[in-house]
Order: sequence, then C-alpha cells, then structure tokens
Amino acid sequence: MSAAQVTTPAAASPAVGRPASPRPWRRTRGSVRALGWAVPPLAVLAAIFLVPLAETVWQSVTDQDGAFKGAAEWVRVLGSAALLRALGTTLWIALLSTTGCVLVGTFLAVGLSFVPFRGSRLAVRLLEAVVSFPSFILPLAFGILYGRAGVLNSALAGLPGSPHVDFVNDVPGVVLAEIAYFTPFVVRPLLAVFGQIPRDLLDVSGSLGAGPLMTLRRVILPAARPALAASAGLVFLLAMNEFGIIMFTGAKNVVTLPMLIYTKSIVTFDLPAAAVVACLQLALSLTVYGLYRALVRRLSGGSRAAA
Amino acid sequence: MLLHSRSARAAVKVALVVVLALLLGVPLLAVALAAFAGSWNGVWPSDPTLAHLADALSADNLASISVSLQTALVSSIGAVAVGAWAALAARSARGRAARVIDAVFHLPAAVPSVVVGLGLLTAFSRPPLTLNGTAAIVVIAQTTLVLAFAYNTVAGAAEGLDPVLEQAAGSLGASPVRVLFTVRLPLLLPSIGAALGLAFALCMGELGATIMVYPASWRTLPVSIFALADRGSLFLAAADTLVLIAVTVAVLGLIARLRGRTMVR
Amino acid sequence: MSHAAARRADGAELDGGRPAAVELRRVSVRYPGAPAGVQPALADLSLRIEAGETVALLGPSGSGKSTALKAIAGFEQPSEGTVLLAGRDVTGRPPAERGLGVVVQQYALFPHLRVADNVAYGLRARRLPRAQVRARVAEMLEMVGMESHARKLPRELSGGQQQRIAIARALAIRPDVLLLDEPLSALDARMRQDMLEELVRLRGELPDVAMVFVTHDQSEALALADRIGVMRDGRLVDLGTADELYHHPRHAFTASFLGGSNLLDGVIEPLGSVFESGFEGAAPVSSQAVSSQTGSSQTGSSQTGPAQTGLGRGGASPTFRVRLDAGGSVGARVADPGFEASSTGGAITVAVRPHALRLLPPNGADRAVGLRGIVQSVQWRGAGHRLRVALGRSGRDAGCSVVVDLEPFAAVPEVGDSITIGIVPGEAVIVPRDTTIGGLRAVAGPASAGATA
Repeated sequence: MSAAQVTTPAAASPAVGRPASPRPWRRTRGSVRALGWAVPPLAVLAAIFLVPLAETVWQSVTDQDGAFKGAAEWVRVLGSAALLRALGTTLWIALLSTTGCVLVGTFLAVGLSFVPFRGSRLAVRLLEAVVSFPSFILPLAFGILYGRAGVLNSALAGLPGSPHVDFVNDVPGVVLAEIAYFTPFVVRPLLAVFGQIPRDLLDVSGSLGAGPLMTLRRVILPAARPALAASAGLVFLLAMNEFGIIMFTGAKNVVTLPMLIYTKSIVTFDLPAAAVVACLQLALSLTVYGLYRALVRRLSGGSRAAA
Repeated sequence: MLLHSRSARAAVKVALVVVLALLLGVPLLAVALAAFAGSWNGVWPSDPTLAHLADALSADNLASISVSLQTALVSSIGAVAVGAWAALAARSARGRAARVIDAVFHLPAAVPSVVVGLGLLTAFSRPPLTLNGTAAIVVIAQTTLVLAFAYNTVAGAAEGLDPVLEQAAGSLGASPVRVLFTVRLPLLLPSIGAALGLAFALCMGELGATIMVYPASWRTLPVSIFALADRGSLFLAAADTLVLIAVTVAVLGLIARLRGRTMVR
Repeated sequence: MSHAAARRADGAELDGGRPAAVELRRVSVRYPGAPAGVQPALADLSLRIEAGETVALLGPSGSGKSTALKAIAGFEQPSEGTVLLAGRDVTGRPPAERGLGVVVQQYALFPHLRVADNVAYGLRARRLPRAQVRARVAEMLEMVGMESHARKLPRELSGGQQQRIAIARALAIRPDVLLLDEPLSALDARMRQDMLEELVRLRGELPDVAMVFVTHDQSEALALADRIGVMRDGRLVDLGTADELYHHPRHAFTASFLGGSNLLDGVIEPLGSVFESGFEGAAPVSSQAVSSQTGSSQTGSSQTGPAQTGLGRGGASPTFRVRLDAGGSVGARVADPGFEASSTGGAITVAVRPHALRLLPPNGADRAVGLRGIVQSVQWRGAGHRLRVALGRSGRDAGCSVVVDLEPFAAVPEVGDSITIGIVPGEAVIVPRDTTIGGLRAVAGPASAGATA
C-alpha cells in the first residue's frame, strides 16, 4: 500500500534543543551585569532569611552564652522520645492530609469539570477564595460546630443516651481541617488539566464501549497524573509545615515538629533544643521541597518534549 | 458528557454539593453565623446579637486591626519590591545563575513559618541588630514568609514576557534603565498587582512566625483571635475573624481598583 | 459504488424488509441554553442509511452536518425525534451501548496510549480475552498498513498515520456503522488524496458496513458517497445520488454548493410551450450531444422525473425558455419532477455551472440570444482561465455577475472586454428561487463597479 509509506518525518522528530548563542562572550558579559542586578535582592534575602537560618543551625551547637559545645544538644534531643513521636505525628498527619486532599480534590475536580451543575462556577470561586483566607478559620469553624461545647454536641445532648462526638481536638480534627484548607491546591491544577482534555476523547472512549469508570481510569486520570503528583507533593510539604491549624485546634496530644519548636522556644525557652528540632524540620522540609521541584521539572520537561 | 445516565449524573451532583458543603460551605457559614449568635444550642443559632462585632471593633481590637494592616501593607510592599526585582534579575541572568536565583527565592515558601520565626529570634536578639521586641521583627517575619509567593507570581509573568519587545526598545536606542521603566515594568504591572494582593492576604492571616516573634506592644489580629479561641470565646473569635476577612477583602478590592486604573492608562 | 447507489433518492424503499442500519426520524438537536427562537443545530432530520451504503452529509460549517453525526453516535441527545440502529431505538442511550465506529475530526487518539493500546481500547472495554485482543489489533493494524508502528505513541505519528489508527480503532470493534467526521480535513492536500483512495479501498473491503461521513468538500462526497445529503442551517435540503444532485439539483443551494453553479434569477416565458434545446447561439462544442426531447409535454414532466428514469443528463426533462433578470433569455430544463412553475408565478432561478458557459464569437449572429457582459477579472487556474463577468450592457443594469471557466485552449479576453456568453445545451437547470442564498449568488456590488470602470 503506497499511502502507508508516506510519512512526515517532521512530526515525529524529537524536540530540538535551544540553538547555541552565536556570540557567547557577549552573553557572559550580559550575565555578569545581570548578576550585579541580582545582588540587592539577594542581600535582602540573606539578611532576613538565610543568615537567620544559619544562626539557628549555629545555635543548635552552642550553649546559651554562645560558646561552641558540639553535638551534645543534638544527642540529647535526638534521643528523646518526644522528638520521635513528633516526627511520626508530623509525617502521619501530612500523609493523611495529602491522601485526603488527593481523593477529595480529584473527586471535586472531575465532578466540576465533567458533571457541571448550576452553581459549579460559584463552587470553583469558593475554592479559590479559601486559599486567601487565614488557615485558622477552619479549625475555628470546626470548634464551633463539632467542639466539646459545639453546635453538634449540644444538638446531640437532647437525644436519648446523649451521644457525643469528640474528634476536633485530636488528629482527625487536624486532618479534616487540613484537607478542607489544602484541597483547593489539588483542585485548581486539576481543573486546568481537565479543561484541556478535548471532549472528543471522552466521546470516542464512550463510543468504543467504555463506561464512565473506564473512561475515568483510562483517559481522564492518566492526563491528570503529572498535575496530581505535583500537587500531592505540594500539599504534603504544606501539611508538614502547617502550624496555625494545629495551634487553633488546641489539641494537646497533636504535637508536630512545628508545635515542638514553638513550645520549646516560646513556652520553655529551651532555644538550643528548639534549634535542633528546627534544623531537623528544615532538613525534612527542604528534602521534600527538593523532591517536589525535581518532580515538577521532570514532568514539565517531559510534556515540553512531547509538545 | 462523561455520565449519560440521568440518575448517575444526579447522584454525582448531590455528592459534589454535599462534599463542598461539608468541607467548606458549612464551616464558613458557621463562622459567619457564630459572629452574630448570642447562643447556639440547637441546629440554628439563637439570640442574634451585634455584641461580638461591637467587641471586635472596640478600642483594644481596633489597635490589633491597625497593627495587622500596617504590618501587612509594609511587609507585602517590601516583599513585592524585593521579589519583583529578583524576578527581573533572574530573567536577565538566564542559564545557571537564573536557576540559582529561582531556587533561592522559592525557599522561604518551603520552610515552616515557625522555623523562620525562630531564626529571626535567634538572629535579632543580640547585637549587631537587636530587633527583638520591636514591630520591625514582625514586619521582617511576614516579609520573609510571603517573599517566595511575590517572587513566584512576578517571575511567572516575566517568563511569558516577549523578549522581542525589549529588543525592539533597545534597538530604538533606549538604555536598559529606560527599557526597564518604559517596557518591562508596565508590562509586569498586572502581575505585580496580583503579587501585592496575594502577599497582603497571606500577611493578614499569618500566625506561625508572628506568634514566635511579636512583642506585647505589637499584637496582630490573628494573634488576638488565637488568644480568644484559646480562652474558649469562640463567638468573639468568629466575629474577629469576620472583621479580619472584611478588612482583607476591602484592601484587596482597593488594590484591584488601582490596578484596573493603571492598566487603563 | 455499491449496489445501494441504485436505490431511490429518499431511501424509503426497504431492502427485503431488513431494517436500515441507521434511521433518523424527525430528529432535532437544540443545544441546552439556546433561546427558543434560535434555529436549532439540527432541525427535523429524517434519513435512512442501509447496510453497506455510504452516505455523505455535505454542507458549509454550521449547517448541522456534524451535529447529525453526533446524534447518531449518541454524543448529542436529540431534543425531538428518534434514532434507530438496525431497527433498535437507541434514542437516549449512551454511546457505549450503540456499538458504532466513530472517527472524529482531530482523530482523538488517546495521547498516553501506544498505537496498539489505542486500537485495543474498544476490545478491552468489551473484556475480550487477551489473545483475541492481540490478534484483532494485529489484523486491524495490517489492514491500515501500520503494523510497524504498534509501539509508538500517537504524537510520534504524522497526521495521515494518526488518521489510519483512528480508523483501525473504530473498526476493531466490528461496528455495523462507521461514522467519520471530516475525515480528511486535517490533512494536507497530498495526504488528502492518498487517504481518499485509502477510504475507497476500505469501503470495498467492508461490504456490509454502513458508512456516514461529514464533509464540506464536494469532491470528497462525490468520490466516496453512494448518496449525498446536502445540509444547510440545520436542515437537509437535498438528498440523492451524486449523479442526481449534480445534474438534477432540486434546490438552488444544492446547485451552488455542489459544483459551484452560477445562480441567475429569471422568469419562465409565458408561452408555456416546450422549447427545443439547441445550443444558445453557435455550437463551438460538439461533445455535448443535443438530446431529442421535443415531444415531451409539461404534464408529462410529473411522471418522468430524472431520478426515477435514471436517464441522467439530458434526459426527458421538460425544457422552458427563461427570461433572465440580467437580460437575455436561455433555455433551461426542470430537474425536480415535482416542480411546478405556476406555483412560483414563473419567478425561478437558473443554475449553470461555470464550465457550461462558453464565449460566443464577437460578431456572430448568435449575439442576439446570448448573455451580454463585461469581463471583470481573469484568473489563471492551471487547467484553464476563470473569468468573472458582470452581466448587462455597459454596467447599466449590472444586476449580477457570473463565473465562467474557459476551455483549455479558448481565446482569453481581457478585463473590460464586452463579451457574449452562451450556455451549453442541457446544462441550465431551473430551480426554485431562494432569496436566502445571497452569499453564494453572484451579486451586484463588485460587478457594477467593474462594469463602469
């Protein structure tokens, strides 16, 4: 068959890299000048962020008077059960919140994109607005609604046997509030991705005999996978670092690393110990952040090569 | 288009509405209602009152609002100035230098607010710069925390800037500074406005770093709200939160209007 | 062309009582949210497509042809009417339950699935055993000549290759009906020709599959379809074999869209007598045989329509003399057997294709009967020259202009020349006047401007 042998190689050829600059010396000189421009903002960032972080690290190996004392503080803090528990709680809450956000966010995004209803636009607006609200509004609301003296409990008290709910001041309350607050971070990129899926793709899938679940699993979700992975990474990082929500739930037994840093430095004034925990948290956050950025770069790089 | 069966569509719609309501609708509504509730012992609040709101606007609280406003304005303007500058520098630099600038300016978003607060406490509690106990340390804390968001917003827009425009301006004999003020900044103005709005909103609600560093004389509204909630005065806290959101939305509206006007010009 | 070509134009004849592969009964599609007064995307479409038949829906964009296809596929739900597949009412049923093969305009290959997995998609949806899936996929890829590309991703394929995979994927599930939406529109000119031949070959390999395809390109419709449905503004305006529509258009729109006819308004001369068709003026072309049709009367026309006799061009159609609004008079035949000139008060439109117009010698005796006009533009089109001619003398009554395709070796006049045009006998067709086809009718504006210049 003659027609089959006719191919257009241009369409199949891999993406061509950016051509080299014809005059590299000029580029270098330009870069040097540009780097000069970068000095003032970098200096500000160093003064208010990088140096303080470095001082925190230094603090962890010095005593209250500023004299170097080695890793003694590290040994003490790392050996404490409280730290390990806090580390476990932090990761556990972050994991639960991320899972919840991914599930709820995917459901919301799929529903809002493919089963739109009157008011779905309003729902999207609401989701976007929540991000600019203070995060503590959710634990505050949960406290009002489901707290020990909250609306639900006072309503339940009238019922026979006076049932009682009490989850707000514990891990479930924190996780629920974090899911509510961070879900928009999953929904927004997914809505963008789903908006790009041609309707034809869904129609054709249906005409080939696929039911809604198969279309979801084999067509919609594969398209969402990169965005989903990236936003899951982001939510995990945010949940790990979250402080306001946990603070507001007032849960005494939910001690995450940020809470531990807060109590050690503000409540018990054990600054060296706080510094050690901060260093740990810093290392953890930066690792997760590094993985997140690598993931985003790989995924966006992959899609660029595909384009 | 995905669901052809009417009942399945209806079921999904109901589920969507229920999830959205439980997740966000009911909580936000509860806060709004609680702000006006004298008591709330049934399904609906009772004894509607403006007392909480009056309390939220009392002299003591007005000071907190004023502190929050000042801190958020100064911090967000500072953060956007530094962030936009860095974004422009990163765009000019290109290559490896740009990647380094980009990574470094994104860092503050990855570090927990409490760690930022602790760092500032550690760094500024002793000479050469003793800021502990001043308003400045609160401003610095919030600036640091929103810097990455300000940078990210402007850098995203700068990335999409057509270099041909700048080259054209350059070929017409405009100096780099002139190009900056007549071409780049006007084109980036919308994103700078957006960055300012985002930074301001984040500052207004900031708690983690602020609570680490604030002096008693410079107490922001979120800290006051936390104190109320911690005492169990949830209705008062709700009223204060409502005020906080109202003030934030008002300033955001103002920024949006200014932005609209400059864009027309 | 298949046996279905000989079937009656309205498709009403049953094939031994077998239900049609596709039947639409008075189907309308109204997009949700559209105001009630607005023309529906598809209005009152009735259509039967038999097994093994190929039907093209031809029309400009926005004519409702794609909507009709989507209504068959189940991608759009009719607001009124019934869709039947092989006699089964599927109105309101989801696409998944219809078992049709659908190839959409941009192919819609699943971007993350390899070619083989794309083709296997429908088979897996049917939960066929793995071995069967593999065999069927190989068979399909071989059929479209893409065996060596099985492991590739869609983005690694050219447009034509993607098209083949889309067809293989649609046919893998052994559908009784194959729907193709603008199958060639996304390809460049050369690929389009190859693919057209490919589709003709496929048509031959699938004798029992009904094919419905949508196109705005008349050449695709003429090359591939047994019957063509001409669509406009959501309605089916004409339906028939390519031959019927081309030579006996029943509507001005069909005449102008299929073959690009010039539309000339005129009035049937009240003589009422049948006029013997001779060449309008001299006879520079001998290939166009003048048919013997002198005896047929006006009453006879209702019994012997061209569609039924199948005699085609120059058949026993009654011929009238028509006085054109733009001046001059021509002999023209009636294509639609049901057409009655009296119902229009004699006001009709004459459709003439550009290649059926000839320049008459400047000083011949025939000038009296030809159409006078002034050349407005001359365009070299490879095979010959195309003229645009403003009708009327010296632009005084330049009501309209016509397009004339000159024969390859004809002498070419210059812009501004005053010329006389004749019509090849039997090529002028009377159609009901339709004042809504302004855009396609040769209109006055530029014509008068050119004529006065």
